[in-house]
Amino acid sequence: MVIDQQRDPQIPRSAFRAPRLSALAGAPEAYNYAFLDEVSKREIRRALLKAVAIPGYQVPFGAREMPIARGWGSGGLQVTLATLGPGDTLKVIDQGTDAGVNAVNIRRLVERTAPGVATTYSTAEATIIQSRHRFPEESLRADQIMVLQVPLPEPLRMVEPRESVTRQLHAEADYTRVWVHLYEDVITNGEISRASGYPVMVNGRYIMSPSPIPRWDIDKLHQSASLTLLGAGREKRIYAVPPHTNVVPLDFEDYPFRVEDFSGKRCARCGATDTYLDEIIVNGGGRLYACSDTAHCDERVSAERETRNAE
Amino acid sequence: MTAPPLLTVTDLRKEFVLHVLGGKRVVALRGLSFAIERGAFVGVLGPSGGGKSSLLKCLYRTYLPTGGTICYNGADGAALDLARADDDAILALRGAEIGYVSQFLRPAPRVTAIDLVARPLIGRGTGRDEARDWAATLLRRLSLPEDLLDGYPVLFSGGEQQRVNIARALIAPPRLLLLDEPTSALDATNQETVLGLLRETHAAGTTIIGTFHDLAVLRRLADRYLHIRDGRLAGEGLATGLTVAEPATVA
Amino acid sequence: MPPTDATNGQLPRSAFRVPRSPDALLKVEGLAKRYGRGCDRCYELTGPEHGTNECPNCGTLVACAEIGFALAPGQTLGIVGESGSGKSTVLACLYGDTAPAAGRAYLRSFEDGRRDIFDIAPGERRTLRNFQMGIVYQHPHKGLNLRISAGGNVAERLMATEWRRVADIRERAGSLLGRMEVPPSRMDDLPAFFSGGMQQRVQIAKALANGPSLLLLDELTTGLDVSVQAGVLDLIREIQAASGIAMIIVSHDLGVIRLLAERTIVMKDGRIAEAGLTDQILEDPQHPYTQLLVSSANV
Repeated sequence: MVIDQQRDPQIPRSAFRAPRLSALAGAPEAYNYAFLDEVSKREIRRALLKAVAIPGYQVPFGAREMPIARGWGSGGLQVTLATLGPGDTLKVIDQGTDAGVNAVNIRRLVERTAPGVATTYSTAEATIIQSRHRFPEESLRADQIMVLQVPLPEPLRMVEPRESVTRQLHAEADYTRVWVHLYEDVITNGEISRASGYPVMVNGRYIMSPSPIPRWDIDKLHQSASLTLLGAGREKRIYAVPPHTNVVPLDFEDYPFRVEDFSGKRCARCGATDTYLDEIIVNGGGRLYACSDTAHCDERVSAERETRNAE
Repeated sequence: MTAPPLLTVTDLRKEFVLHVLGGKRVVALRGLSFAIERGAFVGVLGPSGGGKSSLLKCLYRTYLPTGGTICYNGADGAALDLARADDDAILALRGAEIGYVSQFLRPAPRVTAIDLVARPLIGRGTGRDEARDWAATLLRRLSLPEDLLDGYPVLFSGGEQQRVNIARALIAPPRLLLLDEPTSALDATNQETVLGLLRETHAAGTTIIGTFHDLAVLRRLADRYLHIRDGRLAGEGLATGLTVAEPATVA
Repeated sequence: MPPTDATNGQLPRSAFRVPRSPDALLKVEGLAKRYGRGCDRCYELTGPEHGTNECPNCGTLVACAEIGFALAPGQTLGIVGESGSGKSTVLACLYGDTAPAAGRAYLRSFEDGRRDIFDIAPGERRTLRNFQMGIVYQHPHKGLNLRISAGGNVAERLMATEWRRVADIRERAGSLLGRMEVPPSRMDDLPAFFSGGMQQRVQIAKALANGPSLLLLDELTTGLDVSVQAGVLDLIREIQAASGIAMIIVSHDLGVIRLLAERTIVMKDGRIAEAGLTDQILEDPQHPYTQLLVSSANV
């Protein structure tokens, strides 16, 4: 339908402004609690229970259409929405920062559709943390749930394009081809060069993609006190690492797994030397480093300021 | 009680059915029966096409006998029917007890003479270098030119190949040695050397059954003879009993 | 065995000892493989006497049937026959590349030969393939990943059996490739760029990586230049002499069989037409098909 505004002045100008999500969707009350209908939540929770029962195993689930594009965290969002309830406090981070546009939008969706759920930037205050590509620097507690957005859940995809075959390889724990891949990496690059999504062995049984977190965060999965849930919306897979589960990166005895090396570097903002740092190219070609976890960095900065003020 | 014969052949028959020639039947052996004592040196004589080679090949099981039995008393004291024993049993005997030399044996390609000859010795557990030393000694004794020791026998002349074959059969003397015209392609000097080696092998305890086209050679070597003609045993006895009339029947 | 006349035997049969065959490394009984829906007349209507392996009743292809043999440790068995005779299918079933329709097989080095290797779980089959068997296919792309290095292909075998030190893996893979006369300088190259003969050498190195008791060779020299064939065949002979590994060699080339195999099975239309000592098969073939095969070959 073509509407000619000049010929039909009765139509208000506001109709041609970009509509807000809320205006299009109607009042928040029109939605079920936490956006998803209860049947979908039950489907996701069933998948989550199975995923927790079989650490590292990818459970297929009926992924819904979501108000964000697939590949933008729809899997993580479904897990979050099916998990939270009144009294929960949600933190959403996107590559380390709570202020990323995707993080802001996800937080807003929850604020509008899930009354009784608070949102926060603080890792310590959060009961559920949804994240893309990072873990918070602080260690998580047993009463916290980590939800990771997963673009590509299948760690064997790099060696086998067929889903039917990768499922069989997992079923038989036939991971030789992954090892060959790592061997080839070593002879070509002198080390295992995988930067993110480093394959890990979960509970001695399944090889799992930890989502595109840096190597720095791999150890946070190992024997963590908190539960980690991973959701892939486009690929329709949910998997989990229960608390106190072994998560071991694949490596060779003589080419051991190493995390990113930030020795000699520090955060330009808070001065931290023990955090995962982002590299920033500044005007003139210089390089700066800053904490990837902005909330953690903020807390350090304000704590330092308070100390200084107290003095 | 006397020891049983090493080999007791009873009514041995061999018939070929040539399917490619419309099922044509060719009879090679028509019922041979004889016994060979342990330690004997038996010469087989008879006209060409009379069944001498077929007999040796039946004993070695290169030919499958059509009927009859070949009772072989093995080193372990048990009897085995070579006509019916399974392939593994025959292979085991070939590896340990029964040897075969033919003028037509084709040596394996791309194996040097010295390695070819050394192999049976290595198969019986001798170290590789020592086996090669023995092989070289034996081949030199057989007057194989020095520069042929590391040559490939497939490229040798008939006489040179035959000496390699003999060396291979004699380096680890079997319990029973089957010889099909072992000296056919040799000149007089080399023939004498081979005959000497055969006598030594026999003296060391090997039972030998051999076909010889040269009756004089047969009489010099063998203590008994079998005369095979038209697939039947035409006569047998002591080699010394062979009369000069016999050569007429020898091709 | 041909019919023999037992009544002429001088000794009663009981006087003969049971032919002594060493404990078989591999025993195969009643192996069959069909492609198609199958019917209950497939087997009776196919085979050399019918001149076909395709069931006239239901159109099913009977790739092989009634295959039985035993293989002694260290022995080499040849399987010869024309294309489509079912010889490669026998290897494929043994290696677990395809599931047989019927039959049992026992490998002495796997659970003392007590379990039918056709009836084991996929994970056990992998263990069997990784530790007990090696295979070399006619087409290198079947046995090798041509997009990973030659060393990586050999390493795959080692890593399947828990080798986790790159230095050890490279030493072992390098020495295996070296024994196969693949120059060390080519270890990290992709086999896609190797000659056919070199690719077969990499396949052999891979097949031998874990010291299996049985090596399966499927037309390994078919398609290679004659001079290259010779080198690969010599290599197999050296392995025979040095390792005492048992082999099954499938080939349509009687020359290859004559050179390498002590015993031979002749297959025709999915069945064993004849089995015997290799020299007997070549000099005294019994079955009409074998006679045709031998008389047409130049071996």
